[in-house]
Amino acid sequence: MWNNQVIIMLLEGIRDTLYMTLMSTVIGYVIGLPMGILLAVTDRDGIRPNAVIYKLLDVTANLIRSVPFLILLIVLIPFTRFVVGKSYGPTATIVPLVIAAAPYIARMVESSLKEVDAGVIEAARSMGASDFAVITRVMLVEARTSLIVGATISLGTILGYSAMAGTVGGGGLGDIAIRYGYTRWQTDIMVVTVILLVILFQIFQTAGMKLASHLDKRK
Amino acid sequence: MAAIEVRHLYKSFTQKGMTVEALSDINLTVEQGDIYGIIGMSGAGKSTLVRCFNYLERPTDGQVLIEGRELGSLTEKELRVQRSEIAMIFQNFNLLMQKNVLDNICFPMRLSGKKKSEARQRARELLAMVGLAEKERAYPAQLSGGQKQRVAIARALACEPKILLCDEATSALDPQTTAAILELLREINRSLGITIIIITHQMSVIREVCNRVAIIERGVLVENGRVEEIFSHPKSRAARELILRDGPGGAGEGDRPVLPERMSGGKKLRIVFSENSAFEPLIANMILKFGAPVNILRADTKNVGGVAKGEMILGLPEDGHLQIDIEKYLKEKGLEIEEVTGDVE
Ligand SMILES: Nc1ncnc2c1ncn2[C@@H]1O[C@H](COP(=O)(O)OP(=O)(O)OP(=O)(O)O)[C@@H](O)[C@H]1O
Ligand SMILES: [Mg+2]
Repeated sequence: MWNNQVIIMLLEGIRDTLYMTLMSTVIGYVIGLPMGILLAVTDRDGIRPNAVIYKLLDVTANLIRSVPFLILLIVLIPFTRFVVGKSYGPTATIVPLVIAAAPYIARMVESSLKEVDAGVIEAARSMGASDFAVITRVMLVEARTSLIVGATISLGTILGYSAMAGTVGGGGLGDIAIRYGYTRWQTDIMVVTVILLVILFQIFQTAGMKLASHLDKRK
Repeated sequence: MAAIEVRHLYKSFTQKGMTVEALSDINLTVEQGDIYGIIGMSGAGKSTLVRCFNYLERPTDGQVLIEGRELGSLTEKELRVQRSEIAMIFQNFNLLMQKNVLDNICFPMRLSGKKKSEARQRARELLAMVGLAEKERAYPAQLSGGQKQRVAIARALACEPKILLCDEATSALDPQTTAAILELLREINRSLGITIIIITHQMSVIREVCNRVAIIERGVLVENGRVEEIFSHPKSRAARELILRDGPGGAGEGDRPVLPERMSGGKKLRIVFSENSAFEPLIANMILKFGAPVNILRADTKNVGGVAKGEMILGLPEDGHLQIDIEKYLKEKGLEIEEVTGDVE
């Protein structure tokens, strides 16, 4: 059974999984990063408190995050079809992945930014820094280690979600594992895909943590 | 024109329905070239007050004028420009931990739009000035407290400020380092003519470098004036307490004096000498004259604004008549005396 066809299928699975995970993370950050910054900035002890904006984002993030991903996946099918033109395959899966990931990422970013020492922010403000400068030149820079750790964790979570999307024909390694392991009872192929997922996960984690610690100058 | 003028300043904080009156009716004037100390116990409102000097904290009421400009009348943008002319250093240094020393000093210059190469050149000059030229590539985490504060001072000077605010800048440092940092501040004041505000809870810091001082107690300014004046004739209870707590010797040797004996009971007099030479013969003669022992509860000399001042606290004999005679005798000799009340330690 380990013929070329299976190997090609697995390689394509890896490619699709990487494509979905990385794309979703990137787009997730395009939405989640500003959202996280806004959450940190508008919170009561943020640099520009704003109860209305904070509450709005807070509720939105909680709402989306409280829906189990599998259900979100199904609920979003019409929307996905509207955006991508179809509801299955790797590209279609990116839509629910992004929607699930963005609030998750926003929370990660929010908590990273809140770790930044208030004294350093105060020092920057005493130099005449604007709010924008405080965010871009102080908060994001000082929090970079924590932000990268957050990104690493987010990437791992999205990888897991992408595999889950396999249950509804999402493509990638998760899809293969479900099709062969569950539908056809070919356990060996399922085991191999699971091992591949674990390896991918490990690579992401190790690379992310290495980068974070390399960039950390606090020690 | 005064560097800083504060008029009827009030600041209150409201938290969970509770209002804390952090400052009330503060009035003070800091002249150009002053090294102005602000002293008070923890929670007195010192930090809040200096943060009003650059409007990091907006007063609830009253005015702050910097060289005649009222901060409350400035727009957000004008205020930011104004802030860049008032530098600040802190107890915890507040350096950017992810940037090296050179980039930390460049930071305010880059903020105000200076070119990178120019900023670096100036940063190197400043680093040499604070004596850390060889550390430009180090990160703050690799420096000692004193070195971090030197970097913070270099950073504070980067944009050529007219005023330097120091909030407990030496409180996290050991005595030697404190003395060195104070010396650096004095040097900056002398050579660059920068007005310096020093917040502290240590009287020794005030005594070492300040020419003027304001004493804050629970949000109220209880006394202010020239440092020698306040050391010689403290009027408020808070001032006397702070002076008593001030240990002998140099700055930063701790808040607690080593008392030869715990002061308690009986009548106590505080004497201030301007010249040390008058010290011993006078007390010796007094004892000879009255044939009664007096207890020297505390004696030391302090360097107040560069002038040596002797201070002595005498415990008098129980005899009431003798007490009156002794007081009279000391006054005749032209000494400033004052009764010390309460149990002091
Ligand atoms: N942001 C704030 N919100 C509420 N209360 C505050 C705030 N900042 C200061 N206070 C209160 O104002 C008072 C004065 O505080 P401040 O920090 O100015 O004191 P301080 O003299 O600097 O004390 P320390 O020597 O401990 O630094 C305190 O009672 C403090 O609890
Ligand atoms: Mg304080």
